[in-house]
Parts: sequence; C-alpha cells; structure tokens
Amino acid sequence: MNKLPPHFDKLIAYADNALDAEERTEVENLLASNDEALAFLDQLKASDLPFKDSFGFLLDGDKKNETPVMPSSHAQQQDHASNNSKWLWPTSLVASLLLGVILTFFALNAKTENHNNWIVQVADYHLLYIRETVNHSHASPEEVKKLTHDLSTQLKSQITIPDLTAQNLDFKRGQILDSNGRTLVQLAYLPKNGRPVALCILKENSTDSLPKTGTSRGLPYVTWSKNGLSYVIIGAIDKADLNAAALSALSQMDNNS
Amino acid sequence: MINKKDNFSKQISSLIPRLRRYAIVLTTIKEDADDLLQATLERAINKQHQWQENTHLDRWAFTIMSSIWKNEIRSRSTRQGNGITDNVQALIDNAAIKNMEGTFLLNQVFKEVMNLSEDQREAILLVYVEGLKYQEAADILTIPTGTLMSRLARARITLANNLSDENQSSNVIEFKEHKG
Repeated sequence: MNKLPPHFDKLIAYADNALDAEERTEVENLLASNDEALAFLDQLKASDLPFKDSFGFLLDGDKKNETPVMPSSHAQQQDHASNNSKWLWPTSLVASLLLGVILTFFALNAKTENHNNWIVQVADYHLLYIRETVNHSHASPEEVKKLTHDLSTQLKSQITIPDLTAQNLDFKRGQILDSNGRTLVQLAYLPKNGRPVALCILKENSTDSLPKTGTSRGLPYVTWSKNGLSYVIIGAIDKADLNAAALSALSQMDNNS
Repeated sequence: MINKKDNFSKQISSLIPRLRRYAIVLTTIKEDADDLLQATLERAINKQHQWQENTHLDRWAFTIMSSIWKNEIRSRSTRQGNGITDNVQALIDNAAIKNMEGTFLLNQVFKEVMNLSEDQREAILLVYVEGLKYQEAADILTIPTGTLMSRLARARITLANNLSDENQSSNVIEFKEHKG
C-alpha cells in the first residue's frame, strides 16, 4: 500500500477548503517546501470530482408507485420460512410508518398473478408487525373521524372503524395500501399482550359470503365479503378471541351500512 | 400539534432515498440494499425512543445502517465473486439519467468510486456526497478521524490515477481513429 505523505490529513482538508485561515497558511508553508506534499495536492486536485452529482441518480429510486405496496405473495415462489420473510419486502416496513397517509416510496412492484391470494399477501405483510410497530400510535377521536372519511373515500364505500375494545383490542391506526393495483385498507389493533391484529378491507367485486376461518403463514384469520368489499381479520391471538372480534366488526359494519 | 413520534415518522420517511443510496454504496447490489434498508428502518423504528429530538436523525440512521451491514448482513450477502463492475453498470443502465447530456463523466466517477474498497467508497459517500464533516463521518463509522482521513486519501489517490489512465486510454483511441 502506498505511503501517504506527512500531514496528508491537513492536505485533504486544505483541498476541501475545510481549514481556517491560520491552518491554511501552515499548509501553504508546507507546500512551499515539500515536493511530496505538493505532488499529493496535485492528486487531490485531480480527484476533485462531482461526487454529489454522480450519486444523485440513486435518490430517484423507482418512483413507479405512489402508494405503499403490499408484499407480493410467496404463493407462486419457493416456500420461505416465515422468519426470513421480513427481509424480503422493503416497502412493507415503510408503509407501517405513517398514519393514514400515502407515502411516496421506491416500492417494489412485484405483481401477484393470482389476485385471489390477497389474504396470503396480508399475512406476509402482517408477519412484519411487532408490538412496537404500532404501540406508540394513538388515534384521537378527531383523527379517527378524519381517517374514517379518508378511508371511505378511498374505498368508494362508507366504512366504519370498528370499536373492538370489548374484545381487548385497542385501535391504533389505519393506512391505505396497494394490493396488486387494488386499494386495501389496513386497520391495526393492539391486544393487551402480544403482537398486533389487523383488520384489512379490500375493494373487489366479490359476492357476499359468510365468515370463514383459516390459517395463512401460521396466522389464524377470519374472512368474509359484503357489498363488494372483502374483509379479513388476522393476528396471532386465540382463535376464539379472533372469531369474537370478527363477529363484532361484522356487526358494527353491518349496522353502519 | 406534532408529537415526537409523528416527527420521527415524517423525518425517517424523508430519509429513505438517502438511506437507500448508502445501502447501495455498501452492498453494491440492489436486492441486498433493499434488505439492508428494511432492516435499518425496522431497527430505527424499534429504537426510536433512543433518538434525541432536535439531533440529526440522518447521522443516527446512517450509524444504524453501517452497524447492521457490518455486523449482521454482510456475511450473508448475496454477492458472489467479483461482480461489482456488473452490478454497478446495471445500476447505471437502470438510471433515468443515462441518456442525459454530460452524464458520461458522472457515470465514470460513479463507477470508479463504486470500484473502490467498501471502506473507501463509504468514506467518499459520507464526506463528499452527503457532505458530512470528517468527524461526523468518523463517528458514523465508529473509527478515529485519522483513519477516515487515511481512507479518503487512499481513495482519492486511486481515483486520480484511474481517471488519469482512462483519459489517456481515450486519447489513444481518439488518435488512432483520426489517423485511420
């Protein structure tokens, strides 16, 4: 490795114009008497390059989406262990940052060919959630009111945010996601202990269906459809509690429709 | 009223492009960069209570990213062999600026920096691209300032030599073409 000249650090700072007047004078005195230092300064001048502009294009990212995108399902891919899935979807975590707003991001836009596996997408996404993801969110009544309006507008259908406190689930926040080009609303709730529970609503032309239970990515869920909206409530809580929460949500949304 | 958490969310969101750029400089591969970015955001969210409001969130997040890369992800990176040149070219090819006027020099500089050692290119990024002070960059990398300056010095010597070589090569080609 090449030996650096004496006071190379001062010479770099000098070339970068990062010295005060007194230090500059010292360096200039050095340059006047030291050929090695002078040669090094020439190299620094030759490498005074437009670094900032050269790396500017990396800030552009892939601005293909204005809405955070749900992770593409693994359904048609090699099976992944769930503890690895959290590394796969950079947009997912980003989407979790904001309360009910749309975030511009360089989203991965992997499309899932089978649109019916949206519940798997929801499950993949939900696996990323830990208690701390939503623990600090607190939606005031005014924010809930505004959020209800915003979400209803996005879904083009009047919805309500179910109060699930009787099921020991506190509403934390809501956000709008993109599931293969379709609007998906996610409402996050937090139980007294453990990980969050999510109630997701997808706008699609589905026929009405009664609640049915299932498991995706190891997470129990309850899903149903009503008035062109599909619902799923999912989370790692007792299945009986999840069923109770689903029925409560269904009842409240029915009363509001 | 904006509380600390709202402020954090807003600020960390605005940092994502810069964090992603740092991740690309560290990993040289988009897929690994995405993994690193996600891990960094996750860690930042989980540790947001440690962030002091009214301090530089970008320095704090860069420090997290640097640490995660060196201590957790680098060893299982998908990098194989000496594929950096191909990876860097792919980044340029995918960039929207590739056909813009004057981008030849910018692309050359980008390529040369990305072909430096990891230590050197992250030093260049933090100081000359991000515009951090030497001490700030050294703090992020948890190295003495002297070590940072040494990395900058060696990086700039390499860049000066390589870009000089490329200019000479270009002249040779140009001369032959004129002669023919």
